[in-house]
Amino acid sequence: MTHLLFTLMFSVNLLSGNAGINQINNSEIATCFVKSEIVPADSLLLDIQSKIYNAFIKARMSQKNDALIGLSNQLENLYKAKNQNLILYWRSYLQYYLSIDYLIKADNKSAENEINKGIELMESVEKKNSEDYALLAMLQSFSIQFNSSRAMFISVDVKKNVDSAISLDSTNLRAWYVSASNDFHTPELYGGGKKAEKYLQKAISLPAQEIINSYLPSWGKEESYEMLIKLYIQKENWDMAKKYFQEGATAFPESYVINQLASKLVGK
Amino acid sequence: MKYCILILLFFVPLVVFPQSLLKGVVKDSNGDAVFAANVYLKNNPQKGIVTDLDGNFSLAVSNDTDTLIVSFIGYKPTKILLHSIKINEFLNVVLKEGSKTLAEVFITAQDPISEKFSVVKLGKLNIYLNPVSQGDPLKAITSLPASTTTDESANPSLRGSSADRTRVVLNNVPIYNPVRNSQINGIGNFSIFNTEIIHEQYVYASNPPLTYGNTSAGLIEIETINELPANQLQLSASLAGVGAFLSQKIKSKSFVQVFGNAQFSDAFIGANKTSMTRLNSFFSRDMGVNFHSNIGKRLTFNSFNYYINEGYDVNVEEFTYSGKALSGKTRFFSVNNLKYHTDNGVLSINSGIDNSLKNFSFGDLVSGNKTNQVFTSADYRWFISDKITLQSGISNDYQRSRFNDSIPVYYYALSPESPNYRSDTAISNNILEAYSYITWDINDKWTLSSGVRSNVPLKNQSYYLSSQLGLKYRISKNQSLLLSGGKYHNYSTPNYYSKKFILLSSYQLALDYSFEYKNSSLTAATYYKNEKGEQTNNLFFTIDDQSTFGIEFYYEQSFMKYLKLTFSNTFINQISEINNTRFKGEKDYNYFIKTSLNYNNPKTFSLTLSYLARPGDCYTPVAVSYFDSQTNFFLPLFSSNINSIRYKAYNRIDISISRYFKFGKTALITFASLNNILNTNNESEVLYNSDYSKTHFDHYELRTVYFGLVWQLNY
Repeated sequence: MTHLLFTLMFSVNLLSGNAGINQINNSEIATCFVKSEIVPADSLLLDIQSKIYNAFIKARMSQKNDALIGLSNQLENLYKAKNQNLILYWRSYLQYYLSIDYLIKADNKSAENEINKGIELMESVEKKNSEDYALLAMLQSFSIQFNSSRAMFISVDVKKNVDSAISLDSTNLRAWYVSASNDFHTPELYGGGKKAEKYLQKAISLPAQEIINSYLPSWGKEESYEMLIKLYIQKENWDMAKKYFQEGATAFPESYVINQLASKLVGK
Repeated sequence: MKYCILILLFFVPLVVFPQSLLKGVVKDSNGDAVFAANVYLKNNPQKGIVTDLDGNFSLAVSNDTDTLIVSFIGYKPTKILLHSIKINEFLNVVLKEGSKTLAEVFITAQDPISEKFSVVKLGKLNIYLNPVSQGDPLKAITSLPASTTTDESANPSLRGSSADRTRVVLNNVPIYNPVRNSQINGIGNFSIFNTEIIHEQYVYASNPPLTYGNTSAGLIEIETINELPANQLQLSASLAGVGAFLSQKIKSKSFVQVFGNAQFSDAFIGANKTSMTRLNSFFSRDMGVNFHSNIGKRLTFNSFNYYINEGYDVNVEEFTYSGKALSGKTRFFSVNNLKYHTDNGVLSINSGIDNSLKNFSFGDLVSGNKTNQVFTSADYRWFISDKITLQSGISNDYQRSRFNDSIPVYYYALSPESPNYRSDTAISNNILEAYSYITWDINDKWTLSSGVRSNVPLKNQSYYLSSQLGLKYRISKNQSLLLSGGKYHNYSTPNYYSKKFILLSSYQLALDYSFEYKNSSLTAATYYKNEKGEQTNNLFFTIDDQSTFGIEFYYEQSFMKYLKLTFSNTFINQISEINNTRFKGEKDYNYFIKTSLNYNNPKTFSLTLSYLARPGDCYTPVAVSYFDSQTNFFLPLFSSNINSIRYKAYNRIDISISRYFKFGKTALITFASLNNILNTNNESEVLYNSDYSKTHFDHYELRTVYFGLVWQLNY
């Protein structure tokens, strides 16, 4: 459900004029040791993460997912022409947003179908790298809500994929974020809720990208701050919640998902 | 002159560092273009660029003393000294895949090499939420269609084979007779394993992987946890006992789990008085310690130690004598593992010791049995490539069993006054074996496995060679077929009726199919096996040869978020042979239905309703009897028409419910179960009146109620 909440916040975020929450801000750039320029060709994939997000916002505003479907078709056609795993990655990432869009519209069946398509795409990637495993784990984790009775089986897959992502690149913050998210959303009865804090602290200590590259994923840091603050609010550890709220709000000053947590910290 | 020098200095940089455009392409080792690879200069990273969809790049370079770096996720960065190349020539860069990291080796090595060839994998939660497990890892197996256990024991019988042909392995060490409160014939209601220590449990219903020996039916492979999520203290109390379980981290890389239970029978028997007419009392006290430590980056050590003292007092009727049977047993075993992770493999050194002392008395039968086992093995698992893994090893399994018995002179005259004789028997067996097992992911669709295992004959042992071949075909993302076959060997475990280590063997062929789609899953299997070797189950019959053909079907459907329905059916045609005479096998079933409905909402409660129906096992009746004036008992003679009669068909319904309550750092789990609601008889043995003219039947548990609670403190 956090994902849903997270998505609902996105809509408000757009209304407030935020250019996109997944953009890397200046403070992060300072942590990267290389800044790359993009070759102007391959324009479809340039800043693709933002394009997908913007298409999602359009879908939310217009109540029609044409923009997302259109972008998905373009990526599909591009993949037919250029058989690159990275295109599969972004197609899969887009499926995640399509699923969220359907979920907000209470069309659970379509939401489930779309996330399953995303999982299928990622599973078809040969020789997965750390980012591939992290995204696959995130999609699988998201799919649990459609299939609670198989939650523990899916959760095992999520953990295995997240472990693979971390083992391939221990500096991949998205892997740590998904690992934390899986633990955060696993009921305590089933052994969850024990490691999220540690993993989220690890995630926020890492750069979104080691080398800034607009073709590659940069999501996860803002979400990590949001989840960490929520975790401390849940634990009623107000000092830590405030500390990470300040840190998160400084790093992502225009983030709705972080800023909206302020109301829960007032007077604490 | 001054101006000349100035002018000269002004042009020097242009002469030495002219701006050039370095063009090239980045490909992987297969020759495929690498898109979005980072291409930059070590001393001027801000001017880096990214490759296009065809892997092409153009980078302005002005300093030929710099180093070009090309990197992408999952590949080793490539460094090229600019002065070593011609800037004006097109550059071909080949990125090599990153080698397996040590962390990857740890993750890959967590699963057994034969994982893809197991039928079922059960984690801790699967066991707890299993409809019939009652929290016991081995009892969880009885819900599988492959389980043909009918004696309500936790000792698993798989696909119609005797439980003694299937082995249970804990952290690479075989644990013989893995049940509590075992009777004289090895039957025990619960296993000796605590689910809290378990990471995964793999079930190989047929074709046990030859990474392990001494099994000719199936294999249960249990691995203890290698990571402790958090410190926890659990206190439990139930109708039949109390217990404590502590999980404690020791620094960052080690943890220990300590548990102890005391079982008592007064409350349980009191609450189930009408259902347990034969059971007078039972008790057990057990304690376990599981210690795990990561020593440095490459070495892990695990030690599991378990002690149990148990006993029971039960009224038994055997032939025409009825009286008290008393049993007591003390057992200690220790399983220790050392694993060393290399860059492309894992070396495991495993050891186990198991000592037990058991006493049993019934009428004029008194039996004392002392067993010792020492097991050692060494394995090396080598990740030859991403697709090929080879594991080889050696093992030595030494077992000794000493029986101090008073045996009835006449098997049918069991009263305390009847004559008996003293018999002391000491036997031992040493199984020294070596093996190799390989798996090869041929492509996305096909995986091949093959194993060979041979003994090194010691003393009077015969030489044998076990071999197997497995082929897994992934029809699609959610469908797969597993074809496996082979020849296997094991030695029987000695018991009161058979004080020998007898070499048994089997040929097996099995085809398993699995399909998963959204909320549904379906598995089906068909198999044939031929088992050879003297298989002694009681005083009267020793089977030499047994053929089993089976078909299994299992369907699972999840719906309405928290509900899950499962249904399975099994058909088994079993033919046994004694002295070239063929007859129906004991486990011959036209149907063996298991179904369950499970509601599992972690926010509210979990409820399971399960149903089982099957024909009775086959047995051989007494044909005639003669009065023996010497013993004052009738002498029964069994029919030559073996297994000609069946026990009554059996069906039962069980219901269990549990609820989880959270209070800050503490939690409370309450559970209750009502077993065999229909109060039906699961007939266990045919009994006779004094002259064998009339029959009646003994049976396993009738309706029983059980409840308890677990308090948890997470810290």
